[in-house]
Amino acid sequence: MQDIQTLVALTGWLLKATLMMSTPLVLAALGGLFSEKTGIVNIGLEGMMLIGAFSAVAATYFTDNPWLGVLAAVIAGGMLASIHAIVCVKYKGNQIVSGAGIILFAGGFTTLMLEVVWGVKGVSDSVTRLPNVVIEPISDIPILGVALGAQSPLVYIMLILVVVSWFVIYKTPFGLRIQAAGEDPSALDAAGVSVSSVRMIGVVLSGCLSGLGGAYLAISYASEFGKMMTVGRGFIALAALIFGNWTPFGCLIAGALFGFLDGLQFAISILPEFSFMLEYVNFIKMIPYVLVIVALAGIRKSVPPKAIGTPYEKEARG
Amino acid sequence: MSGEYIEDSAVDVSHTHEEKSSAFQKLVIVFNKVKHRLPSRDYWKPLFWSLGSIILALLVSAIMMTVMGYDAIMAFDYLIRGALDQPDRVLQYATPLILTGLSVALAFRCGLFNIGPEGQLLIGSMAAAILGYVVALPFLVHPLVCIGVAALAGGLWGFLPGLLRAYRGAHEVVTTMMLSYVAINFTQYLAGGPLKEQGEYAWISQTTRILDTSELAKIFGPYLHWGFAVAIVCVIGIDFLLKRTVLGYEMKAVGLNEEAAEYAGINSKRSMALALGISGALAGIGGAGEILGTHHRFLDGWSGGLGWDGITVAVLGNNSPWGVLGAAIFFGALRAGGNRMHQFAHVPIEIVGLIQGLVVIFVAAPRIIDWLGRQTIDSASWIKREPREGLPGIAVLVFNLFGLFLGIGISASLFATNPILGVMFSMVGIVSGLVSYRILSRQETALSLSIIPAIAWVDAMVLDILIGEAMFFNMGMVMVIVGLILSVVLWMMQALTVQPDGGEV
Amino acid sequence: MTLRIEEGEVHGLLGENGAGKSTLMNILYGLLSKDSGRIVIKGEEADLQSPQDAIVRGVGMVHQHFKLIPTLTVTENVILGLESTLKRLGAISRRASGLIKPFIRTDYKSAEEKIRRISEENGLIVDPQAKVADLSVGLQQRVEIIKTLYRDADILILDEPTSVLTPHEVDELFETLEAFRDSGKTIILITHKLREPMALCDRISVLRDGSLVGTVNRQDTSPEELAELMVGRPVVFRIEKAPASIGEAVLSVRELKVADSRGLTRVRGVSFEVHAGEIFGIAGVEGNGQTELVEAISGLRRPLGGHIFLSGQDIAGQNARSVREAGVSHIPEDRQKRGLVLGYNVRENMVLGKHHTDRFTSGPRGLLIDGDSILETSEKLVDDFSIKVGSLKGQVSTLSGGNQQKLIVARELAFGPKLVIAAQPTRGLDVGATEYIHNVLVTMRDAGGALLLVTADLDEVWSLADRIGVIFDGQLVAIKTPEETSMQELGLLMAGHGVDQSSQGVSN
Repeated sequence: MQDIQTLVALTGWLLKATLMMSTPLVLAALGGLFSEKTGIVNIGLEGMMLIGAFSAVAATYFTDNPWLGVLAAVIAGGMLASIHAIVCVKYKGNQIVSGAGIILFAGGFTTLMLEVVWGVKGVSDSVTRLPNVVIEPISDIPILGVALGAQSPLVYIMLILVVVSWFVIYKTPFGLRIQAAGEDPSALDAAGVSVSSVRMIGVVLSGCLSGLGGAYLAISYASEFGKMMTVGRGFIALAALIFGNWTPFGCLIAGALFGFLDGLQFAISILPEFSFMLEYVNFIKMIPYVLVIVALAGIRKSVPPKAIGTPYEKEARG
Repeated sequence: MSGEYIEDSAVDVSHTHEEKSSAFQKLVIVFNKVKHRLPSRDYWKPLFWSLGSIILALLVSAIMMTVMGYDAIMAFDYLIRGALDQPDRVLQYATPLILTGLSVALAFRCGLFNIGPEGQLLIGSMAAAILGYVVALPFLVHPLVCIGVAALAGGLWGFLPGLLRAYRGAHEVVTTMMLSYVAINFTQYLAGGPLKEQGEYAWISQTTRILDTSELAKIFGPYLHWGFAVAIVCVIGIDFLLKRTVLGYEMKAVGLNEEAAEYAGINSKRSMALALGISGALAGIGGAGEILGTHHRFLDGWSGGLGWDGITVAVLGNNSPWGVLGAAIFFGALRAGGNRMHQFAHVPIEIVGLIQGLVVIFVAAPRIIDWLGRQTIDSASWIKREPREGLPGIAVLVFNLFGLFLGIGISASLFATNPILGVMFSMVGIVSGLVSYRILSRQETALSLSIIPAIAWVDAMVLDILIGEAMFFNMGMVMVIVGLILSVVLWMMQALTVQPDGGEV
Repeated sequence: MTLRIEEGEVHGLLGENGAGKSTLMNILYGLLSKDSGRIVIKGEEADLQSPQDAIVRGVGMVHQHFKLIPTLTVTENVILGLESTLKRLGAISRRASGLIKPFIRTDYKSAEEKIRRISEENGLIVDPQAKVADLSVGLQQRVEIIKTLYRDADILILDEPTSVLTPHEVDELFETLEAFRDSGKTIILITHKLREPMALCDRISVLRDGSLVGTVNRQDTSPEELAELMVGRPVVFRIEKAPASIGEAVLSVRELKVADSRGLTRVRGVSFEVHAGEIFGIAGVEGNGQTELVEAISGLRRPLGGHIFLSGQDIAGQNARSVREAGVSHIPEDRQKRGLVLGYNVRENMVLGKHHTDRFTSGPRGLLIDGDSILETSEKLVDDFSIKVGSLKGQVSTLSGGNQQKLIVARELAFGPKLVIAAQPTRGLDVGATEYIHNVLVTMRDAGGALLLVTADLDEVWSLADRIGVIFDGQLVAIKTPEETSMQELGLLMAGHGVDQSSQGVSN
């Protein structure tokens, strides 16, 4: 009997941890989705998350309102992404190089600002967290209650955003244009729609969503900003995007899987039931990356947008 | 490309020396030869882009430093002196960057994007670290064996994505990146688990120290080891590979046009896998050099992103071996100088990462540099053509650009304490920015608008004195006075130019 | 240039590649911007900044390379850029500004209905829910036409609409276009073929080197006159060549079967022989297995079955390099994609495919490139084939199309091949370069070389080949000498009509 109780408690706890850990991944992956569906590779998700995390903490620190922190994160992510957009769309630069630059820039900038604002090297002061949302009616249901009963509002927002993204991409005129920009921009151009503006919006959206993911990490999951606190989550988000085959629900499922692995590591480090795996945490960390390689090499089902990575130039020949 | 430029300019210099000592006819021949060998305009462009990006990145970072409240001039002073004072440090920092940069550059020349040199470097360095203490070999042989095995290990880490790309179509950007993280975790596991050094420092994740026989000796100074020589050999080797060998010819052909290469009977799959394999091997050698020459053991997290910096180096060096060498030394200097700057000007070392990021962003889009270049030429010819309008135009532009950054900077530092004043100053910045944009896009009304920022500065200073306790009195008053003088001068000039026109009509 | 197009006519715009037809029309459609001049549409001066400006003025364009997205459905492709949102949201939808509107649910249902109506009214039957990727080329073109009709276009521009169609599909297209004309629409037909405007157009304008040479009524002209206008001098339609002195078989293909990359069998049991001193032509509409056949012979694709003998030695299934080393040269059908490495300079391209041979390598085991030898050979070939290059160090991408093709031909003929495969060797070239290449090929034949000519150009195969094999749906349906047959018969065979069937089909 007690075994079952422990099992139920553990399952609920793991589900909760999965949701918690997958939220930033799914948000950033959705961001990547909007950018890559329009044909612009965005490996700078990591940088955009980082700047989002920093802005969230900084804004909360000054205003003492975490929701303003969330807003600041979205804006900052979008602003950093707009640099990527200008470089890649307006000046037709190399998207991967620009993305790498974005990561370097964000890493340097946030660490620098950490010192400017708080005068510290590693971790900022603590700020007010986003209060958890408690959903009374379900909080007593055994597993579900633990998992979904009291979570950060951003977790629910993430779930809603997945559905909204799906709706926008597949059911609205704007989504059709996004898809066209990523598959064959010349067709979009011939239909009288500006390819640049669609792509610009896509990239900026990706920054906003990644910034939101960063905000979750900084003022919901934690309550402070630490140097390089995203520790490669932007890349895992990219992996989730590819593993999820460039679809919103694919991103959710892949993000949840990778989030589960993340939650498992957390469980291993604090729960005695799991401590026997402590030695192999590194291997659990590898799983997402290996899965992506296997998926790309083996199944070969993943179909990226066709025009991805290539700047659109109007044809100038006769 | 810029590497080839360096080579050619060297030829140029030697020939000009010759000119003085030889007869006139010989001189003409030599001159023609030089002219023939001198690259065309397009050849110079990459160098122009790289230098332009560096200058632009330094400018932007200087502005950001100022905004954050550091003394940018003093910082750069220490940065430059720090780099010039300690060449051994510069070259030591440059050594791994040369190799990871070469790794990315070689792959790029073969049409592949290796963004995983970090993993290849770590795997290589781990192999070297293990071999460094497990086997006993005589001097000289030992480090060479370590480097060789490291090259193999790193090469394997690159070869695998190469195979996946060639035979399964898995994109190498993704696979190399993912394998990089596999390598990071794997080496972390090894250094913290089975291979962890026991004893006094058991709480640190690190392997046992390598044997003395496997250490790379120092060339000069306390830092620079023979790994640098290995790196130079690699630069020469890769340059030779790309320019003079059949393999290089085939790999480049596959990179430029896979289909045409296949039609010409080239085995494109083999070429791709080999290119990534060699690329990985280079990064592996880079890792081995650092272990054998500097760290003497594998310490968890020792790399700190050297592989990532390889991308930066390759991009800045325009993917040519000699360009990579130059770019790596530049970044080495930035780091060595950055340390000095950190010590004496108390500017955080992270500013180096910021500069690096900016350089890469600017290099990513050469058209930004082109556009700025054109603007500069445009402005120059504007001054030349119409000095009466051009000169004050440029003055107003400079004034407003400065006002833009100053306004935004002041507002950023004010927001926390005095939001109203902060908003005021950011408005001033925005107004200045708009005016400079109008001047840049050559709108006729732009010059007469220059009164607006001046008035904005007056307003801001009044507010500053009233509620901000005159915090920025000196700087603000300068802006007010300069702004007013400029607008008065402009107004007078306009009045003067209009009158004669009216007379003619 | 001044060009007047009357309402309700079918106007042909004729010119060689590079004469400026497509540029002119892309400007009219707003895709490219003009340097100077005026465009007047329906008596109203138009400033066309983007295709949107052209669309609202009733201009629609069917591009040579379709502007369709294969992964989307017909409906999605048609409504792209002109999506209507759900009416159910009534007031919001109507009042919604440009900012919100793109985020309201698309109204696919009424769009589908409208497409159904358009396709029924005009006899352009297409399933609106089908994915474009699953449609044949002919159907895809229908989608493009529906796209313009959906936007209420009454001026239709068609850019080389027939180049990818089978003769039967061409007939259907022409019927549709005639119906459009009768309903008062204006049609501009861009082409470089002579027969098409003669069949359909009311008036024909000829462009040469970016300027208008003349506009003629169809009744007052002949293909010969049009050709002369197009090229600027009388054109010889036939090449002078001596009778062939046929030697022994160099290439012998037996029951060859080849699949394409998707695994569909595209070549289904083809047998033929090419002899020394003869040009064997393979004629067919594109997409009937020619590409796969050529790739199999040149070692780029492993055949499913059958044999390929080169001078008695079976080379089926060998890789491209060993086939080349056995003496097969290949002039690929797309010179920029498959024939040249555009990032390489002239010298480097001149030895592509031969770069590994003893002649151009040095050092241990031939690992190094011998630059001097390459330079020497390049200089000689540039001279021999009168290729106009700025410098041997210059990028090959700066050469004109004709000179690029000459470079490839020089490279493939220079090193004593036993067999030359020439796929569409003159596609997209001007008349001068075409004539030059034809002459070079005939000279090679007269010197005893064996040539396999694969082409979709009936004129070319007719005038060059000593024997002609017609390929249809992966099979050689006939092998004839030009004396035994007529152009008309070849056309019918290419379209898959048997010899005995009556001569309907190709409009002449």
